[in-house]
Amino acid sequence: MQTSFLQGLGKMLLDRSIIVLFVIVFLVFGLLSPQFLTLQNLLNILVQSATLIILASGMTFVIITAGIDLSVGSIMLVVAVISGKAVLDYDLPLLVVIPLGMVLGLCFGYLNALSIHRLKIIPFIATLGMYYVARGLGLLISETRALNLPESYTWLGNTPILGIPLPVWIMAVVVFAGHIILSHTTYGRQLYAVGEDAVRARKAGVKVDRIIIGSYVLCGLCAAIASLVATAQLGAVSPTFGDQREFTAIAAVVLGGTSLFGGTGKIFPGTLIGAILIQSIESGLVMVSLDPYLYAVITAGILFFVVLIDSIKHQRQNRKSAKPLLKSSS
Amino acid sequence: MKQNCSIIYRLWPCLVLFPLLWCCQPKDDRLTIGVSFETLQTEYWVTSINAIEAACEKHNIRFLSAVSNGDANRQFEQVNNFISRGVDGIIIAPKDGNTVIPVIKAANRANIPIVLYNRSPAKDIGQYVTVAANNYDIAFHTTKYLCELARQSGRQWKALELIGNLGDINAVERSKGFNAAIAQYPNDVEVVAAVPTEWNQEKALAGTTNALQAHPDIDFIFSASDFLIPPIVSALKNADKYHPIGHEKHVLFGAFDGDATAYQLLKEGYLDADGVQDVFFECEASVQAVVDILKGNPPEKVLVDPGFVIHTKNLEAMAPKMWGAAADHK
Amino acid sequence: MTDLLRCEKIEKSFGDTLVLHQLELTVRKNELLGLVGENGAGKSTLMNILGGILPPNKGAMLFDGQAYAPKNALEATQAGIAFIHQELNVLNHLTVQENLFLTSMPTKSLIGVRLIDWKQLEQKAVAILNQVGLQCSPKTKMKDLGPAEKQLVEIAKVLTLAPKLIIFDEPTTSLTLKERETLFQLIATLRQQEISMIYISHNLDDILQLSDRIAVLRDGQLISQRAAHTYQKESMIQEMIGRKVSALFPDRHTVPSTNSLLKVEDLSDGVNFEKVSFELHQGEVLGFYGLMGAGRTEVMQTIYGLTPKKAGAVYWKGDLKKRLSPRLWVAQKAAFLTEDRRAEGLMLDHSIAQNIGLVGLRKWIKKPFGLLKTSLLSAAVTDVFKRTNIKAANMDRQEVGTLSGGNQQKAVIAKWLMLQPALFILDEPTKGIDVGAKQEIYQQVSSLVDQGMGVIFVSSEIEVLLAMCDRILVMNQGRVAANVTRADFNKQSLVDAAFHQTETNTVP
Repeated sequence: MQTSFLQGLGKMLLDRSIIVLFVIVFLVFGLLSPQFLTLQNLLNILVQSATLIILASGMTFVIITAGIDLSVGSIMLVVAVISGKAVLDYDLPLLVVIPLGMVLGLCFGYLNALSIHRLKIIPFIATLGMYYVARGLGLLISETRALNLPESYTWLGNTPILGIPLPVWIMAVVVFAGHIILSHTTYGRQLYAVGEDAVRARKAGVKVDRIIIGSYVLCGLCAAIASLVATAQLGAVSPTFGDQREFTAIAAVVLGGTSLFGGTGKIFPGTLIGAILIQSIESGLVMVSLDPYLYAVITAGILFFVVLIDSIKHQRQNRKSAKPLLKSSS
Repeated sequence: MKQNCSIIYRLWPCLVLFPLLWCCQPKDDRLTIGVSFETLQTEYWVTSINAIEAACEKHNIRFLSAVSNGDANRQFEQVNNFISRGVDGIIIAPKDGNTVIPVIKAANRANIPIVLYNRSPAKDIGQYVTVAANNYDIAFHTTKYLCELARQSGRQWKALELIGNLGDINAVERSKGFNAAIAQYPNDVEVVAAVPTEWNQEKALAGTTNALQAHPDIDFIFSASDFLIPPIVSALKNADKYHPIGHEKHVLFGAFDGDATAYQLLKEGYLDADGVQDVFFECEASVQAVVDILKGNPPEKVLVDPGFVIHTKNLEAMAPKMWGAAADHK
Repeated sequence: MTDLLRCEKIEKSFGDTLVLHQLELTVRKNELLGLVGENGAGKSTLMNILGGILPPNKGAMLFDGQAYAPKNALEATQAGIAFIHQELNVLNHLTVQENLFLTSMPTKSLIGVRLIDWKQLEQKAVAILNQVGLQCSPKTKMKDLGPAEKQLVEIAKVLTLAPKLIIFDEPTTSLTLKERETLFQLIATLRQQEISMIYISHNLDDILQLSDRIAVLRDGQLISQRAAHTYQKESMIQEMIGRKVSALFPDRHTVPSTNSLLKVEDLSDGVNFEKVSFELHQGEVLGFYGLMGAGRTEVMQTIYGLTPKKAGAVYWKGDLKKRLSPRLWVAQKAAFLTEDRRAEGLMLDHSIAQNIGLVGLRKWIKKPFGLLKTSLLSAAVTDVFKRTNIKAANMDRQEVGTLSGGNQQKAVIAKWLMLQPALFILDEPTKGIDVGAKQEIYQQVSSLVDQGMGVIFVSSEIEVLLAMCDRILVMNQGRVAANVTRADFNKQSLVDAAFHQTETNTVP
């Protein structure tokens, strides 16, 4: 009896590993630093993770189709540089610059989709190509100089509405919209179908190409929004802007329970929690004034732990699912 | 077979013409210097490479350049390329202290003088000249100036340090200089937080915000590079700590490099002091070193740029030497 | 009765190979046409032409009084022709209702955004599920359904398109007897709704039971098309393979020896079966009968070391084997023919010879250099290739994937024969293959036993087991429900043992 109770508890904890980890991280940092659990700090974490959440939301669409987009960090740079130049050199108003940036993101996403679906290049290579193209373009346009953005621009990043900073609102809108698209539209449901098995989805009459193009376009759009939010917060665009952000975004999506094999996963709450968790770890480490040399070790350790738990969980699931699998064909 | 012959047949004029053209090229008896930069990702590097070009022009030297975008391997190839093109001297801003060692060896084998700009090798091997700012001293004196201001106030100040990349010797030296200066003022300044930024603006923003959250009493900031200033300013504004000198909530603020943003903030009275690397001196010294070696009187192995501290009180006098102020003083 | 579909002189060739030759076929309105033929007779090509996937080279089709020449699958669907394939085309992560209406979800507009109208979707799904008699919530995840239920969903999906003709391609391969009955009842209901059907199957009993008329195909030609009651099983087989079949099953005349080959005591895996015990002797064919999910396959997989055991002992020739693994069994010359030959047995894009040569490789590696003796190997491969009677043009060049199902199965058997096995576990060896190939496999089993080998034969076809086995074990819900020797064979009692529900006896 005792063992079965423990087993049940273990299973329950495994099934909710991300939540458990979330709680552990907050408890540990909360104990080590009294400031960590203050409302203001939690809000700070939300503000800081806004960019990542937006970026990872777009990435979720792509990963559900069993694809990957390595170019989002570079798209962020191009969008930031071009919209920054538009403000600095051409004095365009924000009402023009923001839509311009978003359209740019859409275009880059569409280019990714074209090379994947027209030229039949696998997503990894196609978006890796775009990674270099977009980053090169960004550096070319900025002449690899940092852009310092005017006050009117950074206003976006800091103004609170109802006490909550604008980036959090934007993030909330993106997450909400993403969740609605995934769960309550035909497109979203077909996206899962394509991710599970593109051939079967096609046989079932789904226009697979359109679904996949859509996912990369949405991912590009999210990268653009993330870029605008991040530049507004930073007040500057450096040539390293957005570098390696694609990896953090992918990590957040996978932490949030979306399978890299496609067909499963959610933006809300999955990706949202994954992204917040990553940011809380970084934030918490600063709060507890740890030796800077240990940062990388701790972050890597926690990520490793999560992946380990996830792997154990998958093994268990596979053993469980072995039963219906055999039943279906014995 | 026949096809092949006919192609060679048609191409023979080219085969003859190329060497001819080569020989007929106007004879250029000017010296040639190959300049290889690891990156052009901040204004500092862009200003440097432009200053080296200007120095070459002054000495009537031909200037070749290559940028390896953070890839040590590519940098090695680029230098080999210079060697095979028969340059007379090499100036290199290396990726890091270790990867530059084979580059030095290759240049030594080809008997071409090599000057290391801004970074020293990890081991003292072979013939080379290093031109580098004294990161330790400049950081030390900048911090010391800030500490003096702190002491005059008669109360204790809480300091935040933004560290660069812990793998970069310059960043480490600057951090050591900062801490050595603070150690002399134990009663006046206490370091309560240190944030490793990996030379990344987003990390600097998040780190500063978190540190200000954990220690709301921080009123003294030192940044290892000017290029991190925009995100720091954003974070200060959010915490209502961004006020000019003289204001009761002013945060003592020092940084390092001497770029245009720093100059601007010094003029506006938000930045108290900036450690300046004398780019024009360093570039001139690098080119001069190549010329001297070729003439047969090699300089010291290490040419130190003592740099200087610029602050609100000596701004008028020192600005012409500050590279970030060059636009104002042409 | 008028014709719904009429195919006139259809011809189709791939390269030089003529696949369909002057084929004439009619389907009447409100009729179920049974379509039989050996693999390679041209059934699939004909279906692909009907479904708009392939165009015919010559000939014309008339559907519902109009000329019918579909350019793609969509046009075929729009014309009113729908398919139920052997392989289920369902999306497991989605719910039943989403599978049903994946491309035609009802939506409602909310501030200009078209959102799915879940209420309406559920109503429509419930209505269509009732039509096929599936009692489950439309919100159930597809992966939680059994194969029969999945198939019902597929049929329901087809019904949403309001088809005039439904083509069933081997619909019962993955169904239990009981589930098959449900399907047949549904087919009967569909006929009352005036939907015509073409039913393709290797199971001739089903064909005879269901069809109004039967069409027999052989070598791309229509051999006969008549009313169903004019056919008998024997004559149908004869028409299909073009020669007289003496008997489907070979005579078993050897008697098992008393030497124990494999002995299993109280084997449990803790999930699928419990306390399974049996003994297999040399020269014996031991049948494993039971419903799907009774645990037969799982027992074999545990014995072969593919899944871990929880309790029990396995003896090989009297020795206790503690650690069970495929490596051990290959070394002991015990072969396991899995039921899923595509997934586990074969490398589809390699040649027949390469596939056959794979298992026995070690035997042909000679010291001192550990090199492969290619000449010896290829001689042995050729020998096995001939013995198993695989129909292929060239075993060195032809890829296994291009073989028909029956011949692929023979290739798997050939592969294991290279081991010269002492024990052969066959898990559903004749699933989805045609009569001719089945007969050859039965023959093969018989000759193996004659050589003194022990064979475990897992099958859901009681007729086959009755004819082939010396002893039959019946499994029911993870336990051995009966253990009967040849002298006491009684079809009814065996079937009863398999079907009998023991509510108190469920495995945890």
